[in-house]
Amino acid sequence: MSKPTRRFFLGVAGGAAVVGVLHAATGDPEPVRVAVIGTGARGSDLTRALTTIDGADVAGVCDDYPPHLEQGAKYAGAGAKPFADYKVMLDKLKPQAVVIAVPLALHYRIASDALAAGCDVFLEKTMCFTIDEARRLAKQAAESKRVFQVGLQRRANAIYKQAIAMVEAGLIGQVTAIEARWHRNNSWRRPIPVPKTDPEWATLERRLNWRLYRTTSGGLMTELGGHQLDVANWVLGTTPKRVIASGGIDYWRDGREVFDNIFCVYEYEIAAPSLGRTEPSAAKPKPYTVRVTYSSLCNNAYEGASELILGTKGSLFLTTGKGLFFQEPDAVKVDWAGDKSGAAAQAAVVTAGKTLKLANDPWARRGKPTEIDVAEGGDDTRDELASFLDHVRRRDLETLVDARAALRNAATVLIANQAAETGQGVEFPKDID
Amino acid sequence: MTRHATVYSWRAAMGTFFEAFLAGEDAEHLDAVAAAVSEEVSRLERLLSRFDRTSEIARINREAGRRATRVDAEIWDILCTCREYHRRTEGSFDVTAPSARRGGPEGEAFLLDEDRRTIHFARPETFLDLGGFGKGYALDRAGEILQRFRVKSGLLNGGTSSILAVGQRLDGQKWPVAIRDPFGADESRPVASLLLADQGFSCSAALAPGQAASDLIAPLRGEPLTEQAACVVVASTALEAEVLSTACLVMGKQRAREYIGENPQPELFVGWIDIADGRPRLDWLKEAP
Repeated sequence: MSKPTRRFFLGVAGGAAVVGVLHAATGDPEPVRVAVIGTGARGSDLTRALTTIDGADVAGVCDDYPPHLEQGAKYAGAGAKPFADYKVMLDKLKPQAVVIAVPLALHYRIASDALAAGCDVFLEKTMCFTIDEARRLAKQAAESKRVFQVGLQRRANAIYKQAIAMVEAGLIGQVTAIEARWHRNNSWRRPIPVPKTDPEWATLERRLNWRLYRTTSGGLMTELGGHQLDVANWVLGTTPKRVIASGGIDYWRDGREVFDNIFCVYEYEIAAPSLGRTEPSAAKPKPYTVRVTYSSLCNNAYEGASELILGTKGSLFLTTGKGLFFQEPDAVKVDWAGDKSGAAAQAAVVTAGKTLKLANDPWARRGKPTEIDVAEGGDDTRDELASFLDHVRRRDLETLVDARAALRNAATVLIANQAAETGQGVEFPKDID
Repeated sequence: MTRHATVYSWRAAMGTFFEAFLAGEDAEHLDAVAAAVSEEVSRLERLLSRFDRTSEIARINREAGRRATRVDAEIWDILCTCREYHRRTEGSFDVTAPSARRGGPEGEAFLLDEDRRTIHFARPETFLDLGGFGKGYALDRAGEILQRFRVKSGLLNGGTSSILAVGQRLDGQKWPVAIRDPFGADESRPVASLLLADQGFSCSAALAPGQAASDLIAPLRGEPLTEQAACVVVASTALEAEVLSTACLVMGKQRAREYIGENPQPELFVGWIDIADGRPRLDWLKEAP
C-alpha cells in the first residue's frame, strides 16, 4: 500500500458543496420557511445557525418556557413569530419545515404532529424515547413522503466523511474493533433560576434538567452515545447483533435518575467481504464479529469525546475537530539483526539499550500520526442544516440521516440502556434493518 | 446562621484559560452555574476564534471577502459594537487591524447591511480578529449568567489579563486584584493593587517578555507596536475595559491622556505602566479608581 499523500486526501475528500435550487430572479437559493420548536441551548444554536444560511427563512420559534422562547426569538430575528404552543404554530404559521430540539420524551409526539401537518422535519438526536416510537415515526415519515432528517451531525463533518473514505479505500485494512467514548468532568446539571426553597423549584428542575430523569431522558446513551454509535454503524455499514452493558449512579448522587457512568460492549456481525476487508486466502470469506466498546463518564475528562477505529493496517482517531491516522508501524529493525558481525551487534544492544527503551514506551506501537487534511467544511451543525434545507428544496428524501438510519441509531443506543438496566445481554430488534 | 459555599472552576479557552470563583450558599447550585459559565465561554470560543476552521468568524473570514455574507443576530451585534468602538476610539480599536495594509485602511474596512444582516469586506484580503474583544465579551456574558442565576458574588478571570468582579466578597470586602509586572522583570512584587466591585478590568501590554515585535498593530500606521508599555483600564464592564486598554495602548500615553480628558466617563479609569528608574511604575492618567 502506498503512503497516503495530501493529494490522495484531497482526491477522496467528500465535497461539502451543496448544489441547490436557485431562485430564478435573484440567484439566491429558493427560500424555505422554517420554524424551530424548542429553543433551549441546542435549539437556540440551531436557530442561530439557520439564520446564517442563504435561503433559510426562519418564520417562527416556539417554546413553552418563556426565557427560552425569548432567547430563541432573539436569535431568530424580528421576522420570526414567537409561539408558546407548537400546535398553534403549526396551524397558524404553516411552515414548510420544522426543526425540533425538545426533551427526548417529546420527540415522537411533536415530530409525528409536524409530519401530519405536512411539514418536512429536522429532529434532534436521538430519534425517539423508545424503540417502538422510533418504529412508528419511521413508518409515518416513509409514508408521508416528507423530507426527514435526524441531527447526527458527524455525517456532515468533513473529517468523518474523509475517515469513511479512508476506511473504504482500505487504508486501515480490516476493521476489527472500535473504541468510542464521551468522557466529561461535570455534573451535567443545569442551574435553576430560583432557590430550592421556592415552590417552583421542583417543576423547573424537572423541566430544565430533564436529561437527568428517567421519565424524560435516556441519559448518557441517548444524549451523547447516539453520536458515536452512529459513527460505529456508519463505519461498519450495519447495526449490532447484541450488546452487554453496565452502568450506575456512582458519583453524582444528587437525586438524578439516569446513570452517571455506563460501559457497553456491542457485537457486530460483519458479512464478508466488507469495508477494508482483505482476505488472506482465496477461501470463501466467512462472517466475522467486530466488537465496539462505548463508555460515558461524568467525572473524568481525560479521554474526551472520540472514536478510535482499529484496523489491521492502521487506526483512525476521530473527533469533530481533528482526525488522526496512525499506520501500524513496520517491524522494528533491531541492530543485531542487521549485517553487523556478531560481536559488534551484541555491543550495540548493550550500549544503545534500544530494546529496553522501546519496551518502556507504552505508545511504541502507535506509529507516527498523519492528520486528516480537510480543505472544506465548517461547523457541522450548520452544514447538516444546510444539507437538510437543500433536500427540502429538491424534495430529495435521502437525507444525511433519514428515518431508517435514525431508527437504527435509536435502537442501537436504547438496547444498551435495556442491557444495563437488566444486567442481561440484549439482541438488536430483528425487524429493524 | 447562613452557610457559605464557594466553587472554583477552570477551563482552557481562547488561547488562554478562564477561571470562575463563585461564592454563595448552595454549593450544588454554584457548581451548576460554574458549569454554565464554562459552557458559555466554550460556546463563544467556537463562535469567535478565527483560528478554528469551524467557527462563525472563520466562516465569515472565508466568505466575506468575496461576497456579502449573512451573519446571526449575536455576531451582528458584535460587529456593530466593534464598529462603534472603532469610531469612538478614532480608529485605534480595529478588529481588522492585523489584515490592514501598511499605511492603514482607507475608509470602512467592512460594510454592514442592516436590512439583509450581512457583512462584506472592503478588500478581499481583509479578515476579522476578535482577539482584543472576545475575552471581555465572554466575561460580560458570564457575568449575565451569574446574574440570571442569582449568584451575587464572584470573580471571573480571563487569562490573567481581563477580569470581571461581580458584586463583592461574602465578607463585604471588594475583590483584591494585583497587577504583575507586565514586562516580566519581577514576578514577586506587584506593580500595583486594586480593589474591584461590579467592575471590569483589563491590562494590555505592547511587548510580552522576550517579544521583539508586538502582535498589536497600530491601525492608523499599519505597523506593530514597538515600545515597551502597558495600559490598564477599570470600567463598568469587562468589554469596555478590554477594548479601551487595547485602544489606549495603541494611541500612546500622550494621546490616551488627551482622549480620556476629551471623553470623560465617571466610571472609567485608565492607567499607564512604563519603566521609570529601571522599575515598572503605574501612572493613573486622570485619577485613581
